[in-house]
Amino acid sequence: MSVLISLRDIRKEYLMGEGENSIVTQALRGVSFSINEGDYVAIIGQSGSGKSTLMHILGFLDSPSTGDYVFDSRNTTVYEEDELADIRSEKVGFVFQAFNLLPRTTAIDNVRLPLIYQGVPFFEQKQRAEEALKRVGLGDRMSHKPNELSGGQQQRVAIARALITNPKLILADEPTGNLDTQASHEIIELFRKLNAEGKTIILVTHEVDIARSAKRIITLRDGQVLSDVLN
Amino acid sequence: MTNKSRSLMTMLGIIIGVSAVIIIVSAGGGAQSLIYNQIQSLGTNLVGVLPGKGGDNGPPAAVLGVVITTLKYEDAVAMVTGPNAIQHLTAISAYARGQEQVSYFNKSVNVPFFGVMAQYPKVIDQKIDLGRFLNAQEEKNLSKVVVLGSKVRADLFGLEDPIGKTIRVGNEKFHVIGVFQPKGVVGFQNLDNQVFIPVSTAQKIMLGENYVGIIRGKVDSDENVDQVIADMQRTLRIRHHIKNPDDDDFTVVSANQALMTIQNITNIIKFVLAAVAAISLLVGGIGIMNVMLVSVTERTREIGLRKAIGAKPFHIRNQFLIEAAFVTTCGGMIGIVFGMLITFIIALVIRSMGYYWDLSFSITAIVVGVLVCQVIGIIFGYYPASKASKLPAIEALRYE
Repeated sequence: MSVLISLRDIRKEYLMGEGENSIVTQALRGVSFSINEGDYVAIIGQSGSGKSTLMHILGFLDSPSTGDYVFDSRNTTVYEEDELADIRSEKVGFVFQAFNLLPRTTAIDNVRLPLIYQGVPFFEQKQRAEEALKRVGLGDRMSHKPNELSGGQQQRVAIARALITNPKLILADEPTGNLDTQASHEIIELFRKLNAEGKTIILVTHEVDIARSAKRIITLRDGQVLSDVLN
Repeated sequence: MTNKSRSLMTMLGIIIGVSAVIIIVSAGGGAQSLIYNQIQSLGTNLVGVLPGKGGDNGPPAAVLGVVITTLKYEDAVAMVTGPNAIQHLTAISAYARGQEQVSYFNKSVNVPFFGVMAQYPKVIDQKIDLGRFLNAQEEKNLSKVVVLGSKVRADLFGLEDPIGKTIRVGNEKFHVIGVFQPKGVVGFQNLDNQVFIPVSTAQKIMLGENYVGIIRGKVDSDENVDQVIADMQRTLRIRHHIKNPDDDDFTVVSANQALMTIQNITNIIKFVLAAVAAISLLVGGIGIMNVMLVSVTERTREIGLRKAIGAKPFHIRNQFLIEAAFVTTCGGMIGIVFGMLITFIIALVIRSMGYYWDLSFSITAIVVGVLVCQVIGIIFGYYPASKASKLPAIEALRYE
């Protein structure tokens, strides 16, 4: 099993306010850990623990202030926006709490969106989108629009979208936050299944029982790692 | 595009701008053809003498309605008789015009009257239907005889024979000696709805004037028009005692010159109006830019999402640019169709009034119009699109 992610002393500061009234907020104060391919990790913490910031950095939506982020053997710390966009496009699949599907668009068109940005030919887009939807159990709902799908089904569409580029990493931010218990279980089951098939998954949450579905739990508090244990 | 009716509202500026340009250019062309046709209908090989000196490129003041009293009936006579008679001039008539109540028993119409000379029908090429036209005696002798236009005859007499009957023109009694065949609208005048009396009668009895408003002459062929014009000028200078051409108190024009002058004037008007309409296109473009800025703000989350799943700044920028160009192009096409429709309706209306109206659409103008709309979309959409493309992904995702 090879190392996919290596974080070394990651720190992130924000400047809040303007001019004389500005304050420096330290969101992350030296986070270090490694994640191997095939791992299933939950990052847990209360609001203000820095877990959202950490997730943004892990997902290349933001860069650390200091520290190193080595991903797939490449030091991505100094990447510019264009290179970050490349990695997001090819290596990472996002699943958000609020699903974030395009509203007046069918499931299959939502799923193939990342492939459009990669310049993949149209037929291949359609084909791979169908496969991804079947993989998450929505083969019969491909032409439905989000308002015709339940919360759980929408999140599954989002997961299919995250899978379609065959990313190295699936990053899920409170994926069950907007779902009822039943749908939550379905989604957690799906993640388990995907991990069993070899996908590396990082789950960020503030709920302990959701975190317990993972194989390893990293707890954050006040911008630092409090504990890092196998489950 | 999120909201269909909002897109339609945005397009409104472009639609109005494009329609306006199409209507002005086509209607302008139609108007030009109408005027051209009216002047031509006076007849080719026609020369006109107007009182007052015209400017170099502009019409003489008399055309615009200013009354100048330097032209006389005797000037016209001198051009065709006597020692200074002009070669190649086959017919001539002076005109003294007015408007009067013309009545026969209980029927009455209010129409223009022309005081003209005996050769008038040959100048304008109008043909007699019943009876005869005035003769040279009547022209000079203040005779109270009248020739009716075909519509006046119908209005006053119906199917009754009018020859020899007495009608009133104003307060005077006139004998009807002839009726013209229908001729229609010539030189902006409906010749069928007028009456014709001797010029001397018109001047002395009806109008109390000793000048005429215009003199028209017919030249035997195109190639002699310039010579006739020169001869007329010479004759008038002698009669009016003018030594220096700069002191002319008249203007002699050929139908062609009049056409060219009118063409120049109407072209200028057309371009100015079209430019004004084009400005409204600009305003439409600004409207598009504003709506797009709002749209970008509203779709911030969507932009953040797209970036998160791999969209690069140019992807986002192009997405919004295409949307802007699409809106403007749609607006442009709707505007073109609408503009063509209005132009068509205008043509129908004017034609039903009996005028000639050229209806034509230039394919180049339409293609250029659509291209211009796309360019406007891209230019005015660029700033919002560029703004959208620069939104950092996280802020966009955090935006509520």
